[in-house]
Amino acid sequence: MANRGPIQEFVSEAKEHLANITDDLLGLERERAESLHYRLDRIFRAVHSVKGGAGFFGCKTIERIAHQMETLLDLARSRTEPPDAAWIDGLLAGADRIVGLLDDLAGEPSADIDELLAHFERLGRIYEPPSPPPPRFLPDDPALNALPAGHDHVYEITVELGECFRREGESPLSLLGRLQGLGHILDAHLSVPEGDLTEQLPRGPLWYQALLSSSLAEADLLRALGLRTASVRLVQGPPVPVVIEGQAQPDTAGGLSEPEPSQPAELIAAAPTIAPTPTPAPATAAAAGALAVPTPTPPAATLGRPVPSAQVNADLAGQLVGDAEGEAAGSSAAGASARSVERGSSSSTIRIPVALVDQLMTLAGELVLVRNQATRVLNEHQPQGDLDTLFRPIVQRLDLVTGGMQEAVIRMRMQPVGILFNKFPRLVRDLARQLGKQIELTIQGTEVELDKTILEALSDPLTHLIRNCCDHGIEPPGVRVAAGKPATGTITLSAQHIGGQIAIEVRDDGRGIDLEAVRRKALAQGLRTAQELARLSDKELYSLILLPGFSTATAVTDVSGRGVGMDVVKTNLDRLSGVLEIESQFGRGTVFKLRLPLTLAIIPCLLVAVHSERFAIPQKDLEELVCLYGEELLTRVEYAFDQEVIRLRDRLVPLVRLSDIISQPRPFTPAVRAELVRKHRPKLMSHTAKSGEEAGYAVPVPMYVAVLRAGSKRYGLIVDRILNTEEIVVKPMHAALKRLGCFSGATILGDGRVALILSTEGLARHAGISFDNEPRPAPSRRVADTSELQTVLLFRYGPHEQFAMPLAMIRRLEPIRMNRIERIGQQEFITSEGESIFIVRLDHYLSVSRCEDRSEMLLLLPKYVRRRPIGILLSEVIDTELLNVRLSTAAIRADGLVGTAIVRNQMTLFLDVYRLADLIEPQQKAPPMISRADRKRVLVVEDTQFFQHLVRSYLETAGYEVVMASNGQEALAYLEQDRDFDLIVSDIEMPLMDGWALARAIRANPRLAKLPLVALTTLSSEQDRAKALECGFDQHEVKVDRERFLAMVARMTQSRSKP
Amino acid sequence: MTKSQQLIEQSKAMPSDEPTARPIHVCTFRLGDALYGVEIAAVKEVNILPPLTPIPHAPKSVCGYVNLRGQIHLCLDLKQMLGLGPSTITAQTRLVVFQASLGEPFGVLVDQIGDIVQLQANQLEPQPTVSDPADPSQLLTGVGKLEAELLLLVNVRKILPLVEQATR
Repeated sequence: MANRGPIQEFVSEAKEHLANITDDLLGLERERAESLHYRLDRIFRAVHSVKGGAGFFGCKTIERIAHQMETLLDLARSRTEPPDAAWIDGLLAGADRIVGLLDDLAGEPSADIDELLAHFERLGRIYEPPSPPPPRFLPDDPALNALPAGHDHVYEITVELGECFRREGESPLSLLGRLQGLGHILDAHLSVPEGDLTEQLPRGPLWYQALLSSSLAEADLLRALGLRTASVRLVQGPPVPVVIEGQAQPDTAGGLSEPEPSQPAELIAAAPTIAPTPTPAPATAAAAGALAVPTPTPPAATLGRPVPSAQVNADLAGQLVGDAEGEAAGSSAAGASARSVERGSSSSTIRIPVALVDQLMTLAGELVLVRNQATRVLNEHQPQGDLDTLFRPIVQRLDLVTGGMQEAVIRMRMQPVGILFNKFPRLVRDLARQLGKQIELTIQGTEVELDKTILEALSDPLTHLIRNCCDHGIEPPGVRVAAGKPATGTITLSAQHIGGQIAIEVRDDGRGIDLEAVRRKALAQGLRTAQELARLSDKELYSLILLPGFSTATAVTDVSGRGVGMDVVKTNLDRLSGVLEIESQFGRGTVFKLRLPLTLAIIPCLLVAVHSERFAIPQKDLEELVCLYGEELLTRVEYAFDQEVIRLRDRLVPLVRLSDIISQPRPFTPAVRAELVRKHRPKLMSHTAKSGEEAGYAVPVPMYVAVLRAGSKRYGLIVDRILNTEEIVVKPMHAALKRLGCFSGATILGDGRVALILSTEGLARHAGISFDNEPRPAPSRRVADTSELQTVLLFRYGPHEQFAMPLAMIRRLEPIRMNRIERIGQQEFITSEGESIFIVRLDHYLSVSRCEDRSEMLLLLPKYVRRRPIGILLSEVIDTELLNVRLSTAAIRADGLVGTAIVRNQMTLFLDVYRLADLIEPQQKAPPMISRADRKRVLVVEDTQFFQHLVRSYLETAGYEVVMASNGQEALAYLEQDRDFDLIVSDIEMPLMDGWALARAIRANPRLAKLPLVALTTLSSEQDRAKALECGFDQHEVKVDRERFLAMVARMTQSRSKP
Repeated sequence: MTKSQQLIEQSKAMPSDEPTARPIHVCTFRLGDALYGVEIAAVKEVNILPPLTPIPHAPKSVCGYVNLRGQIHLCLDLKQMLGLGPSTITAQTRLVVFQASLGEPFGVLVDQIGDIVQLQANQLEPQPTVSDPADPSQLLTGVGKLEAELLLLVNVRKILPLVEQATR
């Protein structure tokens, strides 16, 4: 922040000059000839300033370079044609070198610039001012034989018409007029550079040599001519005053003599043959005529007044040299150039060290805290009466002022994006030359402003994108023309504000992206499978080129790929909280769309708490919040490999607990992950158990999950509490703690305490969340295979069989000591938590193997068994397994089993607990069978096969006829065909059409509206009940309390049968 | 006595050690029972400890972040870093904050703040260099001999690098 002295001032000023110089040099290629000299002059002045400053500070090397650049510029100025690319390159190289030396002042004195100077010299030689043609007229020239009277002196006047006009404002016409006024033009010659004059006017020096006879002495003539750029050479002086008969005396009448009528013919006859310099080549005669020296005025006309033909010629002549000062109003949108011109001359800005701005920002932040505190005190303490009227407006004003100040400070850090865009014309030009292509860069929206840090960080990715456009996007001219496109490719770089963000676009009219090639590459690199590719939209396919694997694979000759480093662009943008979208039309072009926040300094975030500590999650990373409680904790939290996952609509989202991450300083190893899963699994079960199970409902102990985005992946972060949203000022982590990946920074909250900001990517990495292993969501699920994934408990009783029961039906597992079992007759009981539990030995009811008792075994307590509590004796728990449950009822038909399935390569028996309970207490059977004649038809709508079986078996055993539909849509179809149902029992959560929608549809249909409709679901909260009733359900039942269910069915169908 | 003899007497009376060096001022504090200190020039301020925000995964030497007048400061446990065990925070605990020139804002917890003590050059014994980078006595730059006890001088510049190293 300290002022480092005038030399630094010089350095920054010089750099600004050099930036302008570079812009102008680039502009030279684009601009028309009119503004050529204006630009050259400007460049010259800028170089001169740099030279002067360098000299003052003793930067001799820079001075020398600048001096040579001045020389080159001077050479260019003296020409009429604009300098070519090589010359511009040379000067650009000089400018670059000076910038380099400015950056390294210590090494400046000893820098080696010999090569650069040699280069300049070579250029200079090519660009030397055209030497005037050799003297043309010799004393023995025949024209000298016919001198007019009084003209003793014959001069050869040589002048370069362009220079003459430029330097002295003397047009060729007026020059000739003047010459004629000074004497008599005996002969004249115009040298025009080589070129086909029918195509275009010549560029280059136009040397005019005239043989002029005059009565004026040389000195007088020079004075009278008054042209610095004309050179006069005496060809023949006055003869020695020898009186010779017939010689007229010099005419002293002012030296203005009328040319004689015969002159025109002579002159026309002597019309210069137009010879191109330096090498002889024929020029078209017709053009020659047109370019002839303007014919002198006819004798009668006033001197110098043009005749029509001369007029035409004058115009041509005028055009030959061009009219300078006509500044092209930059309609070609090289806005950067134009802006730099304005910028260079504007004095309404000042340079401020960045540290000062940062300090101001910190102070503004602190002021915000003070404002917050004042507001809080005011609200909490509610001052009365006078104090309030005095204090409140003060606080309000403080609020306003602080807000304004904060805004202003943020804006201070904003800089126009043009600063960044400015360097691209040069880049594109150089690349185009290198690649042999023709590319034009158009820039729009340079005045759009961005925070300084974002601007700096954007430089690399944008450069990359533009390189890619030039490299892979725009085709070589030949290819373009063949495709019917203009030979010059266009890249448009634009920036604009859209809804609180900056939208930057890089658009080209090149070859576009070939989707087929993208697909092939993705397959070849193993980035996606064929089915996955089939499901991707075009937009998603384009985005594949941003994957790391994609870019490293692309060979230089690859036609399709946008190639090297696109993933780098993506990661850079991610760090800026930016979003990149790609659109393309094969053969027509491609657009890269970037969206960035305006500032990184202040971001909105969500505050969450774990134990007593608060953390901030940036909103941009937060997708949604999910709250689970009650049964959902069991039904929606599942296990995939070594991870807890939650089913969120169609996808499986991996879960991780923030409390776990905090307590584990090292990144999770697979062992750690497995341990955590084990730790949490049984917790879930007792989670619901401890919360009491009146009527089978669990008192909700909610689990809060924040679904976060890390790059392109999602995962859920389990936290203890969700607090509020807040806008925070982001401070980077302390340098000593940079390695901690889980936190991206820290902030001061409204109450003055520090909170850490979570890095979603860091957390994911720390927890080792494996997205690759994430079970891909079932590809477009067929209606029949619906939500089949269920977690079941696998266990053993006797040595031979493997049993299973869905976790959803288990209240808890309890280890018991066999010696605590009490016997009453044949029946065994055990007391647990104050109640007497009847022990069920499976071999008593099913034909399965007996179990050898051990001293300790496990008791499985199922849910929903209303009568007396039962516990199923297990010898061991094998595992829990997330299964795609497809039950086969054919293999073993037995009372007490729902069905069988192969799990872990073994036939597994799925227990039907309620049937077992029935078997245990045969007195309490299901409600009486309804007589066949009166069989009621029940439409059951359920997507889970397991429950389909269960409910069907309950109903059929109770004598109902069951028609099964797998989702709402199917159910409606059935209802359309066949309206004769007594009751509809429906699940809520189903694919394609859920229960709510079904209910509404049914109620909306007048023919169906009267049908009794019952919801049978795991959703058990008050809101769910209310919603069900609101959607049109008559009843809401929770899965699956058999007695209640059947009783309710009976009730509902009973009422129906009443006429 | 001759003049020269007088001079000889005078020179005998002067301390015969190193040529007079300027005394250094040390800001002292207690960690446990022992007395430690840092050069006063390094100290920016001494503060009461504001509420701490712990930083998960940070090494044990990091107590957490505190907010001092709107600036987030890193609070370190010097006692832990010296191998004396973790600090317990009491009413006497203070935060010694160091100058910005020594690094991003940070400070250390001390059990009790002491006085500013002047150490003459002859009271100071330099610490032998320690080769093991993990040895906590790396942090000590010397020992001062006070009347009643020893004063261990801490090298402030070594503190942050040690923390950074400990972050794996």
